[in-house]
Amino acid sequence: MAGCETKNREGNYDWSKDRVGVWSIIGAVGVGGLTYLYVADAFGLGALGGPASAVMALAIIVAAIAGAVLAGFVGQAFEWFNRLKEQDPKTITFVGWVACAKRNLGNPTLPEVADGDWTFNIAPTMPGVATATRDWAVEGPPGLSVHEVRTRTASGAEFAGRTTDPGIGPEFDILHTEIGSRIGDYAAVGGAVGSVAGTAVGIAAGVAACAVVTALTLGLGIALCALFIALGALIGALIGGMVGQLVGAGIGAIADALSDFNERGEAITHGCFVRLTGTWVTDRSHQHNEIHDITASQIIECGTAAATAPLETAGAVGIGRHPVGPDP
Amino acid sequence: MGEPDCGCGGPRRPGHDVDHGRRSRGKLCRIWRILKGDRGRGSSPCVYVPERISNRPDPCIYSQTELMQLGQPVTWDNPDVAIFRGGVEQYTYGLAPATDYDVVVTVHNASRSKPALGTEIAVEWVEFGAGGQIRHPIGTAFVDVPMWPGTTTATFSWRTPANPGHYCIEVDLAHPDDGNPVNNRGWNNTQVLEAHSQVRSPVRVFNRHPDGCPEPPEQAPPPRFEGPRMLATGLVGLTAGFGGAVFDHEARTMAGEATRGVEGALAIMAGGALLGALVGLVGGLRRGRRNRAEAQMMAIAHPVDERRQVPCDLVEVTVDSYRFVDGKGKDVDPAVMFAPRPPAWPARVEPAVFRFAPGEHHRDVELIVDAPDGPGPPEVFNVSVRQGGAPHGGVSVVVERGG
Repeated sequence: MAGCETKNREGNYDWSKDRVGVWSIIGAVGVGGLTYLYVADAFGLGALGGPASAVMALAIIVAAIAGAVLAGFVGQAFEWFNRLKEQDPKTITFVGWVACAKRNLGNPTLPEVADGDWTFNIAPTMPGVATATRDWAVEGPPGLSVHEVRTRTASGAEFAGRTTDPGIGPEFDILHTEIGSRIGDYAAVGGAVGSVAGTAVGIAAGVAACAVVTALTLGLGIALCALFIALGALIGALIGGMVGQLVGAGIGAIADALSDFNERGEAITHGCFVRLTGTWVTDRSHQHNEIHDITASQIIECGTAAATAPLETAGAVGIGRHPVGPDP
Repeated sequence: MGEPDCGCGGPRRPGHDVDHGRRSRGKLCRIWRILKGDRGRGSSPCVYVPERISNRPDPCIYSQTELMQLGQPVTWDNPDVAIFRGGVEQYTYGLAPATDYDVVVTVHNASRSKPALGTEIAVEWVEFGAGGQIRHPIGTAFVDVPMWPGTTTATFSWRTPANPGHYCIEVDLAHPDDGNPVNNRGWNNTQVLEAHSQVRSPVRVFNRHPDGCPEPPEQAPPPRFEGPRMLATGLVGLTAGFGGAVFDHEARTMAGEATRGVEGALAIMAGGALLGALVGLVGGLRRGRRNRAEAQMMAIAHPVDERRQVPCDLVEVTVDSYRFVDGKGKDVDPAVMFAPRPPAWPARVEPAVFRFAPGEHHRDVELIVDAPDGPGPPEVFNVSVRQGGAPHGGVSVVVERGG
């Protein structure tokens, strides 16, 4: 079965990445500009000539890139914790088919794709089954429609587009839902903290490396020293950020495990008809709506037992005439 | 029948996470596997939802709201609510004033694994009709509901008001760890009429928004954001500018002219970066226009998703003769239990659709049933009301044919 993917019919799926890009631009311009002003004020750039001027220019550029990397990690953490905007009403209950289920465990250096969350794409039809009916519904609060759940933009968010799962079909409508893990949160914080710390360590290392160029002429020696410091900052920001994310992800996984997250849970798989209750949000990072965090889940029925009358079965379960979970 | 085909050995396994079917050897082993990169890629046949989320009690009652949200027919003669006087069941409409009755509520639990201990039951009466907004308490009780298929009943003593009137009973359940919060409210609203050549019965519909509809949220158009494209083309421009600065420096040196120095080099590079970013912005805006046009075409070409926003003052009334046949477990075929049934005799509601005027508190609609002549079995007519697309109450009217 294809991976659990999401794609928007409308809106910018990479909105958060764009925002992190702006953070990087600001970091690059800010650090590059400050570096230039500092060097110009301290050493009088007009006096530098020959290769020293080129090396100094390169140092300023490298410093700007270091600023971009550092601001990128910090910006990623900021956008991560500001991406979910709650709707009003906050809590909704939704029924539908599980089109796919997975846990986001991948590259921990990218919290967006490896945040450890349990994800379920809920669909109006059982994947692979051709049917004219759309067997999904908002059970509560009353009056809320599926269309509104999928497209209303929450206050503080920019836009919410309809979501599809391209892994199943190019226009396979879904509602994305997630159970939150701590891995993503801790990785985002770890990346920001690690990048800041790494930058500081890199600058210190660059300053120490300046000792090897003290024998050179004053202008070239200064320029090389500046380049060493800038390179140290860049390498420190990058490695520190990546290591910080890894460490943060590990701490998050430990926190999940220590909270008995996975003990005696129920298995949910594609082909199950489920009822999910949770927080209805607009995810600004992908400009779509989802249920995040799921606070309660019920399996109505799975497979062919549910295929014939899923909403009716959900009704029978809801009034206590049929039990939750697959029939033994 | 209906068990998830996970390929992982069953629906419940303690301490098991998603991964190629291997069993966890404890928390530290699981953590080590995560840290060293032993992860599942893509989606898995089965995902184990944390127990605190998936394994919860679910006290419930026959809830017309939930069933209507699922698009199922409903009866307002609630099978889980009964009113007795002297052991004889009563209809809610014809209760006598200043008289003692017993209201018996049956609570179910949809969970097979968790009893619903300490479930709160609150019973109230409301003015007869659909969507009455003023509630009067009858009583509150706390009960323990066993796991499915067990049930618990609670009896409430109720003395009707001294002023003559007609009543609807509303029951609300509450539990702090409820696995489904939307199946906790049920109504009991019934009336019995004698058949004549044409039966006419008013049904009062109360306005949920007598002070006017709340403002709908503004929907913003898709924003345009060209950050990464500008960043990428800006970096390309910066690189080109660096090359230009180096070339300029070398050319001036060879020509014996004064070089521009660091400021000049940076100015050239900054110019390159700005030019690159501008190119990226223009390209992004053009692409954005193309994307918006495609989105509009997709919206036209593909089916509109489920029900769009319904005006909150719009009232829709339907009538049917659906009968709820109670059952439990394997005796229940949901498709049969919720099979719709049109009106048994010619029946209509007038008006069937209307909009509340600003400040209007309620409006009476009329159920009109053309009953057949002569004696025969009674029939039920369920009048169900929605306001703003949301379930808003109803009444089940039993029409008896003398005999």
